[in-house]
Amino acid sequence: MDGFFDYIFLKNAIYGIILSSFICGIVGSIVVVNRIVSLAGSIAHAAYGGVGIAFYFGLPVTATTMVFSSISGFIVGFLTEKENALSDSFIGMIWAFGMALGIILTDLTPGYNADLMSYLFGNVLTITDIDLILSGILLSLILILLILNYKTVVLVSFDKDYSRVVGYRVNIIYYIMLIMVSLSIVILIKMTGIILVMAMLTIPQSIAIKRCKSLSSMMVLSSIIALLFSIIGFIIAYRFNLSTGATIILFSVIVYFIDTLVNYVKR
Amino acid sequence: MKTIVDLQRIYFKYDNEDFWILEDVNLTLKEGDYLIIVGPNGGGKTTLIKAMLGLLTPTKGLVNLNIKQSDIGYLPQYISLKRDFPIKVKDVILLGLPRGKVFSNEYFEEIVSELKISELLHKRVSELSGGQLQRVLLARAVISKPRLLILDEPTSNIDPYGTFCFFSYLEKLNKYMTIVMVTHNLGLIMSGVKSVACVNRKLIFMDKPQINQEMIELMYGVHDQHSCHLGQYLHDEIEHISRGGII
Repeated sequence: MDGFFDYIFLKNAIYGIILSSFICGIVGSIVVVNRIVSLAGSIAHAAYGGVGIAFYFGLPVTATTMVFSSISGFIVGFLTEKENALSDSFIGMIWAFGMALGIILTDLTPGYNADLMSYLFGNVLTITDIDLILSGILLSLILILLILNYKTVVLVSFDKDYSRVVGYRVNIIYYIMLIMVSLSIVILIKMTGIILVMAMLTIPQSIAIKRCKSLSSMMVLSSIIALLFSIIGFIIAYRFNLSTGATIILFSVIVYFIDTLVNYVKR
Repeated sequence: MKTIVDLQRIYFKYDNEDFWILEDVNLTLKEGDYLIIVGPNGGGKTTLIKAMLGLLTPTKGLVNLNIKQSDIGYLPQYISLKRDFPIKVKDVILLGLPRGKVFSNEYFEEIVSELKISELLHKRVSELSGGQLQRVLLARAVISKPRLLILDEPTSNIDPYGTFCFFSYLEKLNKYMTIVMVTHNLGLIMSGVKSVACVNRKLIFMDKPQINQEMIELMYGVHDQHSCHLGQYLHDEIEHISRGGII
């Protein structure tokens, strides 16, 4: 590990991991307590459609994907709210539609052969200064929104009907949460990839939720767990020359199962 | 007395259904009322209060709510909650306060002591039994001192002693809150209740805590020997409870 931090790309990777862990810890807690993991998965995969559009029309990738993902999040959120019984089907549809659109547009893009795998698993070693700035802005925005509306987020996430009854504009809050999830996913895709985003939005939170007595403590603990998973996974991947994203996911899942087993034995 | 809620000719059906859940329902609630809504499963009781609460929009008819939305306290059905949510009992109760409203410690202590939940305040919601959770949710519903308190099957998981304490406290609250309670348990028509509405698609209202033969027929079908026996049994049971007997 000598000279580990001598390389700019390694420094950026570490900074990126720290920022993405906190974004995932916070946003993932909202995703898990609202039971919208599938919906978030659908937004994450649909983001690939945004990537395809950006390449085909020669638009900036991050901005285009942000718009596309926010629209996908809004549509899938609207459809699942409106037709609750069919929500799973809508989620699956948007999930597949985004991926298919991305693949077709990538195929049609003249002279360009985008690597699908790089968007599925990401590559922390390609994180640039711009990515770090965007992540920092997003994290600040999320924190400000959360600090100003913490009680509302807790109430709406815990009991939507009650929130409506006492006069909260639940739909608006719900859509703001979905857009926050969409933007986070887009920012994180380049750093971590679609698959790792979903793992980091769910595994640390599933470990933290059992140990916390408040949403805020769950967010903090999830962020710390996500950071530990990412750093340890990153070091293992660096040491054994493995794919970073996949190593972090495997390490996280193994820890999750050990944790579940230990809890089960304790009971 | 000032009218709190006025339902006029309410009809309701779900988009993909072709039968009415509620049909030509009229109901007026005045300040200080304590109404119990009874009826069989699937009779439209919860739909009716959801229309009152603004959670469902009637297909036809008018709902006039003459108080602010934040003046409503609501205790939802036990099944509709996320039990694994990371939250302490005390925080659940405080969620009932409107944004920026400071709570009085004295009133908070009164609620938790009346509902026998003082020992639970620092527990996680997931650690509570069904009955404990229902008492905690009643505390959340009343912490803001709402003018209208709506309860949906509030005692379905509470033991007899807990139910007795629960109703005693509701009677006290009724001095300054209008109360509407939904149940399918006719045995809950007990002291303190001032009126009864029987709902099974249609609604029959009785301005005293009694049910009559017409209500039994609405709930359980046509007038026959069986419903007469059932009516007599329910009548006896309610008489017993109103004399101080516990269910």
